[in-house]
Amino acid sequence: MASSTTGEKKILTLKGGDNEEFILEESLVLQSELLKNMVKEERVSSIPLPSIKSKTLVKIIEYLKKHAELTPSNKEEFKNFEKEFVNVVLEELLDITVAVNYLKINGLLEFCCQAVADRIKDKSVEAVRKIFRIESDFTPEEESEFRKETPEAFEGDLDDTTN
Amino acid sequence: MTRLVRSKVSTDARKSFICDLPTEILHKILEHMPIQDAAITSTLSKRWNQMWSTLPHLVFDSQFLDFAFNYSFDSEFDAGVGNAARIINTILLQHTGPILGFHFMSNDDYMAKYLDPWIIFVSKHGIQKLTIHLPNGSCLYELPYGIMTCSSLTHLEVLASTVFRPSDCVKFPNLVSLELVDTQIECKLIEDTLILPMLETLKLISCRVLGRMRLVAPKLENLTIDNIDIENLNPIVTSIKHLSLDRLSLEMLAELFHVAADRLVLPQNLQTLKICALGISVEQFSGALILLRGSSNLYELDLSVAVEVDESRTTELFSYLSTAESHLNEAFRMIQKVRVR
Repeated sequence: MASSTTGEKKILTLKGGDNEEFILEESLVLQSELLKNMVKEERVSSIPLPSIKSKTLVKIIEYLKKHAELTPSNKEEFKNFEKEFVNVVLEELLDITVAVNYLKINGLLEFCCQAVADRIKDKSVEAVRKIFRIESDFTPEEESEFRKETPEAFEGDLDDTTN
Repeated sequence: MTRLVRSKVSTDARKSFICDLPTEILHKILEHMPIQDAAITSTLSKRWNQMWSTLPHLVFDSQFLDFAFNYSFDSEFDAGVGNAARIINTILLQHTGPILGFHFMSNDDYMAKYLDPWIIFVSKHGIQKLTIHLPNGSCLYELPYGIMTCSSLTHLEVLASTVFRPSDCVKFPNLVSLELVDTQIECKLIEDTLILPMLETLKLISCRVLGRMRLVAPKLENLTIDNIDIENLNPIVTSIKHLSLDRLSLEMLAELFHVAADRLVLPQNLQTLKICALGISVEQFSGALILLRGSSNLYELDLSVAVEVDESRTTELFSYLSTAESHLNEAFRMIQKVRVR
C-alpha cells in the first residue's frame, strides 16, 4: 500500500472539531498510535477528529513537528519547548491532555499528566479546589470524618501515636 | 449548605473541567505525584475520593517514608517506622480496586518486618508489577512464598539483601521480567529447577548463588549478568537476543563454552551484545570472540573498555591478535554498529 508513492511525501488532512483543516505530512502523525493504525489499516487521506478543538490540534501538530526534528544535539532546545508547551491556562492544558490521550501519543501524554500533577502537588485542599473549580460534595460530617481518616489527615493518625 | 447550592449553579454555568476527565487520565495524573500528595486529593470531592481509592499503582519511596517520619510527632525512630507502616496499612485497607503496581523503595531495611502482609495482600488484589528496595540490610529478608505462585505477577524487581528461595518446581507462571540485585539465591536441594515459562527479561546483578540452580526460561530474550557466579547457574543463552555482561561473567561463560562445548549451545539469535569493563587481555578477547563467532545475527556491539593492560603480557596479546585476525574479521562481518567507550 505505502509503496505506491516513491520519493513523494504522503500528505494527510486532519479535520478539527470546527471543521478547520490541517494538511501535514503523513510521517508526522505516525507518532500517534491511533492515527498510525488508521493510516495503516486503510488508505485514508483525511481523518475527521470532531472531538478535538482546532486550537488544541494546532498545539499538538506544533509538538509533533518539533518532536520529529529532535536530535541529540537540540535536546536542550526541545526541553525548553516542552516546558513552554505546557505553560498554558489550565483549561487548555486539560484539553490537550484529553486529546493526546485519545490520539495515543504516549510520550506527550506522560509529560502532560506530569504538568497537571505539578499544579496539584504541594497545595492545600482548598487551593486545589479553587484552581480546578472543584466543589466539595461531601456533607460537613463526611468532611470532618475525612480529616480524621484519610491521608490529608495523616495528622489524625499521628495523634494516636503520641498517646 | 450554601456550598451545595453554589455547586449546582456553577456546574450549570461552567462545569469543573478537571472532573470531566476520564478515569484513566485522572489516575495517570495522580500517579505523577508523590503518594502523600495524591492522598490529599481524596478529600476534594466524591469523584476524587473514588479515584484515590482505586489508584492502580502505589509507590512508597524514600520521599514518602521521610514524610511519614516527619509527621510523627514522637521523634523516636520506632514511632516513625510505626507511623509509616500504619499509613501504608490504612491505604491498602481503604483501597477498593485492583492494585496493579506496588513499589516499596526504601533507602534502608528497617521496614522489612512489615512487608510480608503487604506483599500477600497485593498478590491477592491483581498485582502485576512488584518492586522491593531494601538496600544496606543487616539481615536477610525472604520473600513470602505466596508471591512466587501469584498468577497475575508479570514484573518483579528486588534490590535488597534478600534470600530468594524458590523451592523446586515453584514457578512464577506469568512473570515476564525478573530483576534481582544484591540477592542471595538459595536452593533447597542440591540442584533446584526453576521454571519461568513466560520470562523474557532477566537481570542478575551482584547475586550469590548457593547450591545449583537450573533455570528454565524458554522465552528469555534479554539477559544481563553482572558480578554473579554463573558457574552455579546454568547459562541459559540459547534463545536470547540481547546480552549484557561484565568481564568476570564473560570469562566464566567463555570457560564454560570451552569445557562443555558439546553441551552448550551458543546464542545463535543474539542481536546485541554489551560488555561492561572489557579487559584488555587474551582471556577477555578470546571469550568475546567465542560469543561473536557463534552469533551470526549480531548487529550491535557495545563495549566499555577498562584500560588496564598487564605490561608483561602485551607480547602474548599481540601474538594472539595476529593469529586471531581471520576470526575477528569473520566475527565482525555482520555487525552494523559498534560503540566503544
